[in-house]
Amino acid sequence: MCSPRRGRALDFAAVFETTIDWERQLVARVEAGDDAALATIYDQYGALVHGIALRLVGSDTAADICQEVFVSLWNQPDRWDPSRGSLRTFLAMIARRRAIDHLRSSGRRTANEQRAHRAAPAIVPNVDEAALALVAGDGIRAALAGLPDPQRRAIELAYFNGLTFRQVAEATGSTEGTAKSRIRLGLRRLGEQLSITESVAWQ
Amino acid sequence: MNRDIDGLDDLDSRASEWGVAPVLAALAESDATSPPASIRSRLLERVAASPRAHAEPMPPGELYASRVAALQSLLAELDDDDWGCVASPYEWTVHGLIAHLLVIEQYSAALLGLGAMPLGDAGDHLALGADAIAAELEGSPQATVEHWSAVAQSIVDHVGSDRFDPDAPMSMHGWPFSVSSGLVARAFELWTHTDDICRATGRDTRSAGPRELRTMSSFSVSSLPFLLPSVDPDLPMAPTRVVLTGSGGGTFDIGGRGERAALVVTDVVDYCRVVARRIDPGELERTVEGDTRLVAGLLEASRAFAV
Repeated sequence: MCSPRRGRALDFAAVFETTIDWERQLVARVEAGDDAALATIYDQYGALVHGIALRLVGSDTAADICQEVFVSLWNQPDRWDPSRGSLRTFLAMIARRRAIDHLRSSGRRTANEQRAHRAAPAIVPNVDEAALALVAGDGIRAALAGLPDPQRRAIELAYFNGLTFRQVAEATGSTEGTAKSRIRLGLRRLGEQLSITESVAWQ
Repeated sequence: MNRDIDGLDDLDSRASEWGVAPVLAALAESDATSPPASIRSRLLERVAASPRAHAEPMPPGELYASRVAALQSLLAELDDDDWGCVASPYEWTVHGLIAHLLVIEQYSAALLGLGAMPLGDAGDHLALGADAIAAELEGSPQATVEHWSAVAQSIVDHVGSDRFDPDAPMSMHGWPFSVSSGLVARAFELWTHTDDICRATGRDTRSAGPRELRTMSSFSVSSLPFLLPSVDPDLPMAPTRVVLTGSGGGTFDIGGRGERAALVVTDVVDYCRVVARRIDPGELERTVEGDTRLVAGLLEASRAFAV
């Protein structure tokens, strides 16, 4: 991978392909029983997975979920299908599902309670991956801020506060169908903006 | 506001359907938070306690019989024209290659006490039984196949008999094998020549089963520390992890305990083709960390049995 420098363009498509290849080889190593490859994946995505769980559940449970996500990757590495998305996305989705499963089994918790548990952002070990993540994160947050207010608000409630579509509708004084439509359109617009922007000037 | 966790209809249940899962992962970057340091060690302890269940290695006799059957199946498909195709990397035709296998099977059978040793220099795998090969080429390919099948079957029958001793010594071409390891080496050659014939006759090569690959690759990798001095006496063996990816692969730690000096990752089938001298070590797609000279030496050593 290339190292980002001031004034250089970062080719997202190329970095994405390189990342997928890197992930594919690591998971192949996991399938072969190489625990060092699992450790590398954990070092790369552990903070992401843990952070996702921590937003939704308490710190002890988040740590357990984080561990379980990677144990599940070890036990069933073939569940990741590279043609359907990156390992990063796959692990992120599992983490959210596990956290929500925990909520289902343990009772109702408020999103604000969970947000109080948030800690400082982590430093992700792989420099180029971290750069990509930070650029992607900055980009998507900027794109989010640029959405029409109703779409942005609905996404914030659904994603960051973890509300259901019905709860988003109640909070915004709309119908459930309208809330759902705003979230879907807003997220698709965010995705389009990321994929359309193939290169980003490095600041 | 309380989260409605009953009758859930929310973003996570719709993310994949809407194709926005990557967007959610990107949003999650802002939440990345290092887990407690203890989680990493606990994770690796749990993984160590539940090592990967790989394909079960085949007993060597079963592996040999399986490769004999695979080659017989291929030979039964061949057309008249196929027998005259040159079986690269040799100068033999497909017919000649089967005649060579007949001689080597006779040699193996003789080592097991099942017949007479073929004439020629037993130390030279390719030159052994040259006259017998020439004689076979005077007859029909089908006759040679019958002769080879009969000798191979005698070995298969022996493996299933009370007289079979898998641990008995069996020196092949000067290599100090046991009978078991000798059978694996024979299976390796049969697999390789099955591939050779497929290529010579324009057929797709046929993958060996996971258990077969596991048995052959395990045999090869475990022998690497002992073979290394044969290619570089000055290169000391050191702890090395060999990761063979793909069905039938696995993770092997060789060279003793201690700090790992090298890691090499490659595809299990490609590795077996290096062992069989069908891929040059320099052309093998692999990932190497650590001592590259050691890895190069081990890959070169992996080919020591093949001729």
